[in-house]
Amino acid sequence: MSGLNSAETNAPNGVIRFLRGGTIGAPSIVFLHGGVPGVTPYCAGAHVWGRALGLFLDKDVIAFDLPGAGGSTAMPEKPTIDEIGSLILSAFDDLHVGQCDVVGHDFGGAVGVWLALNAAERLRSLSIVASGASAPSIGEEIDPLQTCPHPLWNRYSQRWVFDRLSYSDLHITDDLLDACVSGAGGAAHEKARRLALEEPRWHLDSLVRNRAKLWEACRNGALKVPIQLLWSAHDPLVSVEAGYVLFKTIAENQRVAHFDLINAAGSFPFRERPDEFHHFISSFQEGVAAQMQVDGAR
Amino acid sequence: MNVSVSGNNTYTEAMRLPSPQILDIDGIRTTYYRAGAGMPIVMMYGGNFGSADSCSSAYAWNLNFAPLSERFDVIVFDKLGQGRTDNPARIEDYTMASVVKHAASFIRALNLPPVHLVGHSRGGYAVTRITKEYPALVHSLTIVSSGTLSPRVSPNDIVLSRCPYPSGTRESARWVYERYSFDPRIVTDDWIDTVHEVMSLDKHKEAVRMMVQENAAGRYFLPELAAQKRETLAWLREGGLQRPTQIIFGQNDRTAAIEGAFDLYEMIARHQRRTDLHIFNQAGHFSFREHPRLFNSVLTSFVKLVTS
Repeated sequence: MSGLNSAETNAPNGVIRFLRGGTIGAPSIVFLHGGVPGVTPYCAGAHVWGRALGLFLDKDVIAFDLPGAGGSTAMPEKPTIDEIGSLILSAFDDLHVGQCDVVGHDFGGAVGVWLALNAAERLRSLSIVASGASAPSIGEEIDPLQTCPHPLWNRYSQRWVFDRLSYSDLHITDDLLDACVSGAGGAAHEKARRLALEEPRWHLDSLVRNRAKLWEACRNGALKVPIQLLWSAHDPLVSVEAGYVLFKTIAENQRVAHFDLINAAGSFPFRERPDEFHHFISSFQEGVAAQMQVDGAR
Repeated sequence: MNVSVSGNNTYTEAMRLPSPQILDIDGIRTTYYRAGAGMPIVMMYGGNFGSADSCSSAYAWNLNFAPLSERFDVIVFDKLGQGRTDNPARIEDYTMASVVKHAASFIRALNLPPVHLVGHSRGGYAVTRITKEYPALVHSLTIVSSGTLSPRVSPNDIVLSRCPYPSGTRESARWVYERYSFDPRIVTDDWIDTVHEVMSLDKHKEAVRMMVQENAAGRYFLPELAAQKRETLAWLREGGLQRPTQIIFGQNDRTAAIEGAFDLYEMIARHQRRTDLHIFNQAGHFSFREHPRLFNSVLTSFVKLVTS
């Protein structure tokens, strides 16, 4: 991707791969992609952000492959949110990331929540994007991916998944599918898939615990990071209502909470509406930064 | 870590508007304020003429005007019969239709390219109506906390009925604006001073007399607004609004229910791909005063996006 370079940092049991580029010395913005490694039937990685990353190059952009995705082979034996969050936090140290804005999509939003709860001082703001992994549910939703064609993770199957989850299929490019198929053949995915087979509920249990901790923190006023919820109007995975309920929960005790709705987009608003995505994210972050300058207190 | 309201420094910035300018619009001396260069943003505040307990004027935008004019050609004006703009000449012109017609004539008189319209509360209704009647004047639309446009029941009268202070006083104005706000500290002395100055003008007292004693409200303003609102909502549902639009509401607005924001969004977004919704936390009716930096950032980014 133009302006972004691929690199790795060492971690226990492997490496964490990331894309980095943009403006040296500018505030860092960290992107955490969605999809549970080894479980979700598309192979995510930093590549899923597509051209949206290039719109933030006035900042120090860092987009991780989460452990078990893309080129990040550093997969803990018990890949819980706690473990994954800790690995990302260690990577912050290795990469000398100062206080930063974090943008997390879906599962990455849940990792962002973990960072906000466990390392609040490292985050200037958190943008949670279309994240069913963080939101409450009605409890009777139909899984839009329940009839995903097998074998999972081949090109056809992954294309089917993106098509199901999108408002428009225009963003489902050969580049995207090439990267996803390549990810499916990689060591990181193989490791994550094996662990998911051995313990199929690890991610669910871990997500449920993480959500409960988030809601407890909201109740107790312990969520100390400015939060943006950026939801899509046509996301088959998580409803607008669920996002708004999460917003209200956060907003009870967090002054800087913002709910945004992006139109004509499904589960991947940053791919389907990259310019609008950039507008929503950057206007929130700049508004928070301007307010913090005046308040002078966090 | 939290971005907090530290002391009063968030709310005590008494940014002044520049010197007023006057334009004659069909015999109505119209007061406006203008600064900056670039894409034109025209802002319409809320309320209507002849309000006894409080009154809005261009000063409502004072926390937004100067920051936005660093990038844009920003114009705020006093609406027909409000602030320092003349009252309607005839009692039957005490209508929203006259306000809309006057505003459109004002924009046209400035000879601007299509403008980015920003309207708050009743102003949100007015800018939508301008877009319906005069689409050539409009590039984009920002609707802020408009209970007037919302299809939901408005609790406005319930929240603000029977003000315990005498009409036209500082105390009545403060009471009204504090009830509009999430944090009463946003109701600063400089804001109340400006409101009181306008309420003390003879022309304001005359507008109150026309609306209350002469019952222009019941004879003309409210029936006409009801009829045009039905027509406007039908137009929105049918996809008539064909301009990029953003809707901004305060989560804690007691007078414009948040459900109305979602209703408006659904009506507009069904037909207009470029439709955004923003909900500000710890914000009442005046999100642009309670969170001016965030509001200015969102508006700046939106205008840049839809003109790129």
